[in-house]
Amino acid sequence: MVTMKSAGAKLRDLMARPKFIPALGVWDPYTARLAERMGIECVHLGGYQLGARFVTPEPLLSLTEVATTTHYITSAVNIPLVVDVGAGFGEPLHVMRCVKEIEKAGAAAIQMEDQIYPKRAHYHKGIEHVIPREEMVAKIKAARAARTDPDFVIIGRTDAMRTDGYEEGIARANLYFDAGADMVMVFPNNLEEAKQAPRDAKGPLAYTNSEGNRLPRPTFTTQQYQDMGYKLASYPTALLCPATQEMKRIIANILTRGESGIPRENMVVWRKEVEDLIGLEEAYKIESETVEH
Amino acid sequence: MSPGRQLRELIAKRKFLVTPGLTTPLHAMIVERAGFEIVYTGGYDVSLTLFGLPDVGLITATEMVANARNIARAVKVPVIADVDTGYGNALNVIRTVQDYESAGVAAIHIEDQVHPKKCGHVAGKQLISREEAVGKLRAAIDRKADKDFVIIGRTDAIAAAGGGLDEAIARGRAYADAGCDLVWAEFPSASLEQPRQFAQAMRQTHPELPLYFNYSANLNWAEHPASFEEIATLGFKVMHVSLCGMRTTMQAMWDYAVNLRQSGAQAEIEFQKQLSKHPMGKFHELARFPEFKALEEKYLPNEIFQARYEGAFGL
Repeated sequence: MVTMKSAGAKLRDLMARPKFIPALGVWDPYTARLAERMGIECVHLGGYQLGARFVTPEPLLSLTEVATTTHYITSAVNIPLVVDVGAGFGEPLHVMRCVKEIEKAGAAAIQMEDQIYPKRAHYHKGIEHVIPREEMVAKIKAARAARTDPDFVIIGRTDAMRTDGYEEGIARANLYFDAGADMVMVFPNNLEEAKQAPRDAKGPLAYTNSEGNRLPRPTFTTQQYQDMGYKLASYPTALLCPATQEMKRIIANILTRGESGIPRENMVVWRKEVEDLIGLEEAYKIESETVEH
Repeated sequence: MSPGRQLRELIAKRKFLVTPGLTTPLHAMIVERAGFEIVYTGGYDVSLTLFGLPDVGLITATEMVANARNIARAVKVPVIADVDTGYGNALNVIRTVQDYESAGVAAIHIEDQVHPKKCGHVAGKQLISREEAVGKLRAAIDRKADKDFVIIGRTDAIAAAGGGLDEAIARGRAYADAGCDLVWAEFPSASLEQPRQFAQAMRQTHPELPLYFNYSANLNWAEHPASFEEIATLGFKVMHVSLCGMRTTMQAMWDYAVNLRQSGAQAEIEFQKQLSKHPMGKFHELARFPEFKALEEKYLPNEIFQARYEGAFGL
């Protein structure tokens, strides 16, 4: 009998290697499948991208929307998915339902932060409010208690480095490790803090590679993250923002020139790639064996 | 006519409106058939009936609005829906209002508890500030698409930590000033003393404002038997009896289950006899199978329709 590895166990396998994990930010099964096909080993469903998918700021997303999207993505790929659950949708009780839903939807991990709930859109501008340490510790303990697969990964996230300074951020990261977080995501304010954090933390740290952020927080290459000692980073904007620009270009072409402007020979190849990605050939094959003789 | 308009006209025409609180589209169809002119769906009912969970803010806005949409689709009468705190702050409230409007409900009620919330009749409720609550209600009123969509402002101040009747009156007035169409205060007892005081105080400042009343299943009405007319006389224009769909089906389901365990097939035989004489006995008719068969006859090619039904057994 073949025992299937749980999503959490797959992520733990990746974490056990010395290598850094670039958890690419995706927002639907299609982007996740593309990332997997190209060799990405772990994907990340961030509130930023999912908000964009629903055309709403992240604080307005419901657990149902996050869990449904999680389910669709995990059905489309075999690589582990980390799910950003924001502030966990409330107090410990709500965190527990959240963990159950997200784990059941096939995710490998949740990432939960110590911001206030309901969340405010202003945090995208660097204006944040964090809950007291002990409340967040209780939420992490609740998340641990609610998981049914012991390999399901709990990633705590502290925004306190930004609100209360480096020391508070590190103190919280270590408290969250003590409470049972398997990894903690931090937000260093500058290069120095970014280098220092992995040395001061008790456990593996995660980073948000938010290219385009208007704060002084730097982003790094995967090699640099690995050298500094980070275990994982999410990439919320890496696909979404450039893809938007490319779509804008085509839309503008149709509006102004009356056509997309892509050479036909390119489109033939590109279209086949899309169809291969979603498994159209397999569908043809099944039909010809059954209903389309 | 929009559902909000429908409800407003009923409120203007009738001395008062009352309805049993329910959970599902089927409950709503039954209540409509029994002659009620509005239906009400509450959060406690949905939590326990559809999810097996307590009413402590675990059900998401998406889940709640999906159920409200199904109810609104199933009946012609206007639907009043419980949206708890509006599922967050003022921003969340705006999304909630838009979702419920497009779901086809006529009215929503928004309460001033801290989100995530607690059931209105259990201890441990906390209030958001008066200012924040007014901001949320203003957001709802400013951002509704149909001007006739009805916003009911609810205050849980009487029984909440740091609250009381005076706080509830102050909040009721503030919510009315913010533009709420109806105001509702949650009362911790079946005695009409507090409702009377609340209604009097509201009438002093807002003589035209209709009030909403929760004839709550959590209160002991036998100790204070009051008729709906008496309650309406105080100034309460719209009211619902809470948790009716849930409690009546719980009782009936329990009795049936116990019977079936004890008496086996005989229990079902007895039940069939009873049900056949009951107005709900013709449930295939309530489900509108005959209507859908007529639609098939009208729109399907005749040979397909004939092939489907000729010599077939069933409904």
